[in-house]
Amino acid sequence: MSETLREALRRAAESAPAPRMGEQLWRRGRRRRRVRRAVTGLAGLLLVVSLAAMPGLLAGGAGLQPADGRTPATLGRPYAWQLTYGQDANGPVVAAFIDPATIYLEATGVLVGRDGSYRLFPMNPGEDLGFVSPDGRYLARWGEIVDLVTGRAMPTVDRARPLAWAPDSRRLLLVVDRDDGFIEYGPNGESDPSHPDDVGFYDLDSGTTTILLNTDADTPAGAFSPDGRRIAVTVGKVGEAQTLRVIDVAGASGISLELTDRQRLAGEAAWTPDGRSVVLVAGNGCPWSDCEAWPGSLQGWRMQRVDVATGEVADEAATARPGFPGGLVGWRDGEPVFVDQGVSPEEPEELVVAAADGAERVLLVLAHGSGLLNVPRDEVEHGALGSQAANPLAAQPWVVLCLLACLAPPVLLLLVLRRRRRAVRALRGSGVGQGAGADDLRAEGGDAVA
Amino acid sequence: MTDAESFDEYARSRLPMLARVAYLLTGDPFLADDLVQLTLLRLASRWEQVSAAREPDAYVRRILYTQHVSWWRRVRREALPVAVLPERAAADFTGETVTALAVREALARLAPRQRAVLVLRYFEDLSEAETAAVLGIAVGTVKSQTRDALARLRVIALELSGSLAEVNR
Repeated sequence: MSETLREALRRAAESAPAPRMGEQLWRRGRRRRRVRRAVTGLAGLLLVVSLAAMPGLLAGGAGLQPADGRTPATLGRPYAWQLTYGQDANGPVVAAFIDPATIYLEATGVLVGRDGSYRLFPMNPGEDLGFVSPDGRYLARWGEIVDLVTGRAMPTVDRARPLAWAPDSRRLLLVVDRDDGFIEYGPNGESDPSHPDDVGFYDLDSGTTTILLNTDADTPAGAFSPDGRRIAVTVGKVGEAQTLRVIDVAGASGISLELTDRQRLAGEAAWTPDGRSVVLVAGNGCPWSDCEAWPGSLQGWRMQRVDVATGEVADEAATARPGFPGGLVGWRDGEPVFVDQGVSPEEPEELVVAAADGAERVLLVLAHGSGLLNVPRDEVEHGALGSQAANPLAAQPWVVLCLLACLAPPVLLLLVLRRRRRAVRALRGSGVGQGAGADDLRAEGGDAVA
Repeated sequence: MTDAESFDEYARSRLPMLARVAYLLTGDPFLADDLVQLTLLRLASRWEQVSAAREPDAYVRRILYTQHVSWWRRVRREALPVAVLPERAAADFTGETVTALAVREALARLAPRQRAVLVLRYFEDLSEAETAAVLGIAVGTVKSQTRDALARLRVIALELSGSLAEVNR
C-alpha cells in the first residue's frame, strides 16, 4: 500500500553522503561529558552558596526564647529582604528599632506589628527613625507624622523635631529648629543663629501647632504630664547649662530649674504617674555629653525627682545603677521602665524595670546588632511584651523573583531529566530500536563503513 | 572490550543507517553529516549510561530526531562551509530516481517534525506508537502530523500523488 512512498524514500536516502566517522569522536564526547559534569557541579555549588549567603536564611533571624514570667522576651532582627511598611503597613506597632543589616545598606527602621509582622522603614542617611506614639499608631519624625496603619505621612511644621507624645497620642511636643543646621542666613531670619527656637505642640485632630516657648533649644528633651495638660522641657544652647521648664499647655509657666551637665530629663515618660514630679537621670563620672560619646566612662547613674510645685530635687536611694539609660519610656506597676542601651557595643539593648532597690528586671531584649529600641508607652505599661521573630517569607517582590531565578534552573533540569528517563522507559517498553541498525542496514544494502 | 572500543564498534555499525536518516531529515548532505556527527558526539558523552541500558538504538534515534528538530530551529537553512566536500552516491537517472528526487525536495519543504514523522513511519517502518515514543509526542499528534505531511506532499510532489492517495487509504 505504501510501498511507493517507501521505495521513494529509500531511493532518496541513497543519495546520502558517504558516512564517515568523525575524528576523535570518543575523546570529544568524553570532554563534553567532563564539561557537562563540571557545569552541573558548579551550578549546584553556586546554588548552595547563594542560599547560604542569604543573611540569616539558614541561621534564622535571631535566636529567640519564649517569653514567660522569668525569661525576658526577645525581639529578633529583621531579614534583609523584609517587606517595607510602604508595601504593606503593619501598624499599630508594638516596637520599633534600627537595624543596619538590610538591603538598604544603611541604618533602617524596623516596625514590629501587633501580629508579629516585621516591616522595614527605609531612611535617608543620618535621619532619625522618630518616636512611636503611645498607642503604636503614629511615628513622629522630623517635620511629619507617619500613620503606620495607612502608611500616609502628614506634615507637621517645617524643621520640627519631635520630642514626646502626649499620653493620648493626639498631641506631639516638638521643637521648631530655627537656628541649627543652616549655612545661609536669609532675609526673613529663619537662619539667624540669634533667633531662638520654638517649642510647642502639634494637635493631630485640628492639624494646628501651638507655640508655647520661644527660646534656644539646641539639645531639647520633653515630656507630657500624665493628664496631658503640662509639659516639662529642657532648653538651652548646646554646650551651655540646660534649663528644665515646666509649662501649662495653655501657656502658663511653672517652675524653671537649671540643670548641671550631669543631669538630664529622664525621657518621654519622665513625669511620675501622680503628675507631681518629673524624673531626671544623673550620671556619675562624666557629663552626659561625654557619657554619650564614651558610654564606658559612665560610672553608674541614679534617678532624681523634681517636685514640679516647689522645684526641689530629691535623689533616689540607689546611687549607682548599672547600664546606660537610653530613656524613661513608661511606668509598669508603678515602677519606671527604661531602655538600657548598654555601656559597650557588645551589650544588647534591653527594656528594664528600674526597681527602687537599684535592681534591674529585664522585660525585653533586643537582638544584638539592632539598636535604638522604641516601644510604645501603652505596650510598656500594659502590654504582654512577648517575643517576636521576623518571618523570612514576608519578602519584597524582587526577592521572590531572585529566588525563582535561582531555583528555576535546577528544577527545570530535574523535570527534563525525569521526562527523558520516562521517554527512555517508554522507548524500551515499545521495543523501538530493537533489531534496528545492522539489520536495517543489510535490508537496505547499506555501505560498508570505511 | 573498553568503552571506547565498544562505542567505536557500535558507531561504525550504525553509521550508514544514521547517514541515510539524517539525509532524509535534513535534505542536505552537509547538514546530514553534521547531524550524524553531533548525534554520535552526544552518544559518546553518555555512552556508559546508554550501553548499560542496552538500548543504544533507541537512544540514538531519539537524539537524532530531537536534535534535528531543535537544531533546525536554530540554524534553519544557513550555509555551512566545510573544508572537504562529502562524497555523494552517483545518480542512476532512472524514473525511480526522479521520484526519489521529487520526494527529497518535497521533504525539504515540510516542517521538521512532519519530515521526521514520515521518515520514521515510512523509511524506518515504525508504528505510530513507536514514532510517538521516539519523538516524545502523543500518538494522536503522530497521526495528525502524518496526515498533514501527506496532504502537503500531495500538493508539492505531483509525482507521488498516486502513491500518496494509496497511503491515505
